[in-house]
Amino acid sequence: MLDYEESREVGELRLQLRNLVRGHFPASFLGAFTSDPADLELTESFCRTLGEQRLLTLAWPPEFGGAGATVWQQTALREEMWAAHEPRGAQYMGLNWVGPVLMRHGTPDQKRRHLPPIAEGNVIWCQGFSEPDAGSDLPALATRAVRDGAGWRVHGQKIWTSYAQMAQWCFLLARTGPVKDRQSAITVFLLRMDQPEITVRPIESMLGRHHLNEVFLDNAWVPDDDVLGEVDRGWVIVQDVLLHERIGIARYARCDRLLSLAPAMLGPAWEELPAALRQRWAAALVHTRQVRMLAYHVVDSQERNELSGVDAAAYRIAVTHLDQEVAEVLADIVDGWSIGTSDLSRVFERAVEDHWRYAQASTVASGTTEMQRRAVWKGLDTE
Amino acid sequence: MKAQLSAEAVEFGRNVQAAIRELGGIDAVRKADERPAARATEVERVLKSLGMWDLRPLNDQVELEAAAAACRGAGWHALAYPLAERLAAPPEAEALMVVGPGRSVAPHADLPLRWAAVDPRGNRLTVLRTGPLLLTNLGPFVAEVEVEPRAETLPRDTALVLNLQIWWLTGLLERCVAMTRQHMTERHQFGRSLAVNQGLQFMVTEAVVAVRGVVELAKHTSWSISRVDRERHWLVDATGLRLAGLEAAETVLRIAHQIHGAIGFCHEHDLSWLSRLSQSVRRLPLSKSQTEELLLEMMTEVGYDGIFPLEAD
Repeated sequence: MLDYEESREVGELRLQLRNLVRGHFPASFLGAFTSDPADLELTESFCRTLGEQRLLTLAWPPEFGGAGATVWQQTALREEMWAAHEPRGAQYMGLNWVGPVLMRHGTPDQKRRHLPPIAEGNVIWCQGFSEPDAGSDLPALATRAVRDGAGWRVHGQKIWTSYAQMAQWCFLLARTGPVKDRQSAITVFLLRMDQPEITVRPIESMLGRHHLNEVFLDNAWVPDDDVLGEVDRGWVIVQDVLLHERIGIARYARCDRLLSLAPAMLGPAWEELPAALRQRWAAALVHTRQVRMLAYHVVDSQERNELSGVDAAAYRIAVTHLDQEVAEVLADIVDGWSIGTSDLSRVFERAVEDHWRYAQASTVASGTTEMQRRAVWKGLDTE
Repeated sequence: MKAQLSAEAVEFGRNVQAAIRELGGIDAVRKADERPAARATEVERVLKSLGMWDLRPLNDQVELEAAAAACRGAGWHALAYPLAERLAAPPEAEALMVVGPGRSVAPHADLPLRWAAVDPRGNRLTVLRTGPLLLTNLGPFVAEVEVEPRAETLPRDTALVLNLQIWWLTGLLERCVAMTRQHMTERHQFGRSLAVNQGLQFMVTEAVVAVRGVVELAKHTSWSISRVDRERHWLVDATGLRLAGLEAAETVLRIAHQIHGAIGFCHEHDLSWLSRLSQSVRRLPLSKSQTEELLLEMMTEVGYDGIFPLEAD
C-alpha cells in the first residue's frame, strides 16, 4: 500500500541538518569550490562537526562505525546536503561510494587504513576513471599498470577528474592486460596522490574550481597492498560503483528548494512576472515532485531487491533534464541577475547563477543521458 | 514510505485488463463506435462480475488503489466507458462528470446514468441535460451537456475523478509504448529491423521516461486523496498530475505516431484508436494551457508541498 508520509525520525533528521547548516555557513554559501578558499575551509570544519555527531557516516553499517540509517534517512541526508550546496564538499564521494565499495571488496588491512579517515572526514578521494579516449566507453581505457617488484608502476592520463588537486587518494582504473581484452583486463588501484610521478593540471571551466582536472601518471607507484580486489577483475568493482551511483546526487532537492524560495525571494516583484513564466515555474514544481517520486520508487525497489535497470536509468534521465529545465526557469525569473554578480547580498540570484552553470553538466557527468537511454532500451527486453 | 500499490490492487488491475481483453480489447472500441448506444451493456456486466461497483475508493485506501489499477488496466484497451467517472461518483449518483469553463461537453455523458457534475475547481454543478454524442473523429464518445452552478463543493470527489482519468490515460500511454516497440521489431526498412536504429530507440526511451514519471506522480496523488488530513492538497495535487499526464500524452503520442508512420493514422491500426480516444482526457475538462493557469492559481492559494515549504499567499 502506498505511503509517502515521512517518519518522525526522518523529519527530525532534516531539522537537525538544516540547523547545523544554518549555524555553520553564511546564507551566501554556494559550495566548497568557489574562488573564496574560506568556503573550502568551512566545509572541512563542517565535516568534522558531522563526524562528531556521527552524521557523516549515517548511511554506513554499524560495524564500520556508521549509524545504520534507514534508506529513507539516507535519502533525506542526500536531499538535504545537495539542497544546501553540498556542505560536505568533496567528502561526499568517499562517504557515498568509495567507503562502501571498500567495505565490500577491500582486504581487512585496506579497511583498517582507509575507512576511518573517510569516516572522520579527514581524507579526500578522487575518481580516476575517464581518459581522453575513454569516456562513455570506459573499457577503452589505456592507462597501463605494469608489475614492478612488490607493486605496480602506472603510466597514462586521466581527465575530468574532480578534486584531483586536493585529493590524497585516487580510486584508479588501469589496464593490466591487452586493450583488446576490454573490461576483462582492468584492475582497481588505490593510488596515493602525493608522489612526484603524478602531475595534476586544473582545467578552468564554467563549472567552477576543482571540478575538472587532468592527471598525468608517469610511472606512479602502487604497492600490492593497495590493489583492490583481484588483478584483471576490476570491472566487477566498477559495476558495483555504478550500482551505488544509481540514485546518485539528489538533484531534484536543490530544484525543490530554489523553486520554493522564488516567490518569497522576489517579494512584490513576483506578481509582476509574466503569467506565462509563473506557469512554467508551477509546472517545474510539478516536474520536481514527479522526479522525486521516481527517486523514491527507485529507493523503495532497491530496498526490496526488485529494482529494474529501466527505472534506475529512467530516473537518471528525468532528474538531469529536470535540473536543466529548472535552471532555465530560474534564470528567467531573476532575469539579468542570472549572468552573475559579486554582490553577496544577492543570495538567491547567485544561487540561481550557480545552479544554471552546474546543471549544464548534469546530462554528461556520471554517465551521459545517452548511456542511460541505452540502459533503458536494453532493460525493456528483460522486464 | 512505500511507493508500491498494494498487491491486491495490482492483481485487480490485471484482472480488469484481462477481462476487457476477453471483450475484444480495442476491437470492442471499434464495435462501440459502430453502435455507441449498445457499448455499455457488456462492459457493465463484466465489470460487475469483477466486483467493480462494490469499490468505495474514498472509504478505503486499498479500494482507491484498486480503482486506480482498474482504470490503468482499462486504459490499456482505451475502454470506451466512463470507468473513472463511475468510480468517483458521490453516493447519490452513478457517475461524476467534470465540465470545464469552455465547451459544455463531457466524455460518455450520453450514457443513461445518474450523473453528478463538478467543475475543475470542485464546485458542484446541476446537470440539466445530457446527450447527444458529438460523434466526431476525435471525440466519438463525447456528449453535449447542459449544467448550471450550484452552491456546493465536492473537492475530494473531483480530485479523485481527475486522478482516475489520468490513471486511465497512463494505461493507454503504456500500450502506445509497447505497441511502438513491437512495431520497431516487426518492421524492416533498408534491410534491417527498425529496432536496431539508435535514433528510434532513443525516441522510445523518451516515451518510457515520460510515462514512468506520470505513474509515480499518479501514485502520490492517489495516496494524497486517500488521506483525510490532506484536504487542502487534494485538488492542487490532482491538477498538477493532470498537467503531467497531458505533457506525457503529447510526448508519447508524438513519438508513437512518428515511428509508426502512415499506418498509425489508419483506423485499421489500434494506434489510431488510442490516439483519438486519448483526446477526451487531454482536451477536457481543461486544455493544457487552462490546466497550467488553474495550477498556478491553486498553488498561489494553497501552496504545493515538497521537501521545502512553498507557503501560500
